[in-house]
Amino acid sequence: MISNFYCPGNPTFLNTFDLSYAPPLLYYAYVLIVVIAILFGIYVFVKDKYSLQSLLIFALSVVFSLWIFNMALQWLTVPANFNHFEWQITAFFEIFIPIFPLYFVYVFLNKKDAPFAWKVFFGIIILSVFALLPTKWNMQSFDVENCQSNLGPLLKIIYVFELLCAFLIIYVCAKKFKGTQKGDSLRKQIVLLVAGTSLFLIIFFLSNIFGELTQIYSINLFGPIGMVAFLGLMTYMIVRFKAFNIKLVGAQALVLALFALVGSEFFFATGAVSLTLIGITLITIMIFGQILVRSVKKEVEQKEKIEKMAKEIEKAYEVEKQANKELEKLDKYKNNFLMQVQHDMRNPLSTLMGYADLLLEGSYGKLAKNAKDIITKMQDIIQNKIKDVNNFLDTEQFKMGKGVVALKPGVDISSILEEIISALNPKIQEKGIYLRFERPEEALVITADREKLKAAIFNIADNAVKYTEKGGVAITLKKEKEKVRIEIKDSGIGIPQEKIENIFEGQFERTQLAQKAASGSGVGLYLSGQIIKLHNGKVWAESAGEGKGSIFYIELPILKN
Amino acid sequence: MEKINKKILIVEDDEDFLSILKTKFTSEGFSVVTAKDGEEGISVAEKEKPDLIFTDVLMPKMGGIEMAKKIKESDKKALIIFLTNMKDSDDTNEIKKSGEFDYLIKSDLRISEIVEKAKIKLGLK
Repeated sequence: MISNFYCPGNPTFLNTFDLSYAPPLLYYAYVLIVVIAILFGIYVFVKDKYSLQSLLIFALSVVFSLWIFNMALQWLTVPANFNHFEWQITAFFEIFIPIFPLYFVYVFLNKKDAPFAWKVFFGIIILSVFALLPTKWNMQSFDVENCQSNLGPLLKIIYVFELLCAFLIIYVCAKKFKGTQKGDSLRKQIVLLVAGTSLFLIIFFLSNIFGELTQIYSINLFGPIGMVAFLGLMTYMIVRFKAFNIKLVGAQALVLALFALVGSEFFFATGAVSLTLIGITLITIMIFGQILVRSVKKEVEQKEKIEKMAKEIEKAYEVEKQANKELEKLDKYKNNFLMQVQHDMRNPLSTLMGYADLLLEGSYGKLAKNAKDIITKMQDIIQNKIKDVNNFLDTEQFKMGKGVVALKPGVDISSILEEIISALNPKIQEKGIYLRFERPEEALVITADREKLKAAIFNIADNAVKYTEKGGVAITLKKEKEKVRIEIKDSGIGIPQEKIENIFEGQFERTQLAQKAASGSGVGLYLSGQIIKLHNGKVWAESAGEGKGSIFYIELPILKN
Repeated sequence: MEKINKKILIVEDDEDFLSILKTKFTSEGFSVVTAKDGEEGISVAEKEKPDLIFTDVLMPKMGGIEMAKKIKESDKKALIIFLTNMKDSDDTNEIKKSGEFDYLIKSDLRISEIVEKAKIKLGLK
């Protein structure tokens, strides 16, 4: 039994530990490292939605902390039997340290769990190390007086295994790296991954080997510093590419580490004054730490919210883009359809009209007078239909935004009105109503698409003539500041108040559209309104009510250049 | 009807409309040759050397626009008038803008007006 033996030192703490024996680095670096390791582990684990990769980081940080804790105990434990056990168990913690990073690298790069064979391989290695712990492979002898162990080859084999794992990680990452493109975010991640893991394993390996070779075990204490680099880089990577904020964990780590450091002073301090001071310092750290962590947390939460919103906006934008594409497709489809329709609707009418013309001309033999009259009547019907179809198609095209005006300067508005009037003259004479035209002496020249504007005004004037049975239509052209105004006043049937507002809006239902087209009005007014709007003009109607006539106003800007 | 010493090629896939145009132009004293699509139009134009070509736009095999461009390539002086019911499409707008061709809408014109346009184009009026 070695239970009665003691290592050098005075077991002042809990009758077991001599806190003065260990090198200062143990307190000032290890406590901090353990705290940071565990915190990083938990943080990544929680933030990354409990994924396998963060679970592995977390597991590594736990095993690593146990390794450090064991290392610390080796320095501090005075009873030889405990110390012996701590020496013995080292290899078991050690073997996890290369395995977890390797496993993690696989999961991270492939975004899936390692194959079963890998796990079996890892399992066999861990179990064989465990089985070899009590054997001479692990520990050949134990110097009870100095609490120094004469280690067997096992730990050295594990060190070599660590190095092999580091190279394997570098190899796997390099292979993956070659397969990526420049600018790929995966590339940066791989660089961080290989830097973090291999740096850690190599530093760890070197410190262990040097400590072992020189028998100066303080050197081993430098190894864990690599762990900080590793955890820092891994956390940065996961967090950076998941758009989380590391500030919070940084703040928490700072506060806790400070707390732990000051807390460790308790073990060395003597006297009521120092103890009180340390107590006060600890409370202060706790309070300010809490404030710091809270404010950072708030900021982080806000940032995350903003990032989430930004992502949602981006998503919405994508959806909109997709919808626009669909609309464009639909628009194109509709346009093609309309092209076909205008062709198909007009063609038979043109043919009918052509045959009727030839019949009248006697190309197919002489016709009786009443037959000629009937054909002339048919031609009127066909002509009306052609007009309806034209109106309908033009309207559809304007509704699609296809109607474009080509504005050119130097258009004489009076001449347009004169042409309209002479075109309306036959109808006026037929109906026995008057058509007056008043115009100023000076020539009024505007910028316009002559043909389209003429069609627009013609529609309105034609409409006025159509609905006037008594009296007549008076067209007045005036100049008003930078505008020309055309008034078309009739003594016709007038417009009911409820219709006057949107008479130019063209918000027809299909059936209404068909009806309007059949009667040859309405659709034309919509089109007129659209054309005038494209001239930056205004058009509106006034009426004293049904049966009291109406006035249509058209205002067009006189554009200089 | 006096004979006019001008040859007109009508390219049109609608048999009725083709027949109407042919009857009318013949009765006006023109000599008329016809084709039913753009491809045929090119070969007839090469063989018959018409003074004026009327062509539809939408036709099987080859449309009027492609045909007109090809005829213009080999004969810059060729007189080509589009006679169609396609008022607005991207293709026809391009043709109208180019100013190289006349562009008439069938349903806007009576048959006698089409003859008038032909006579003006040929300098007969």
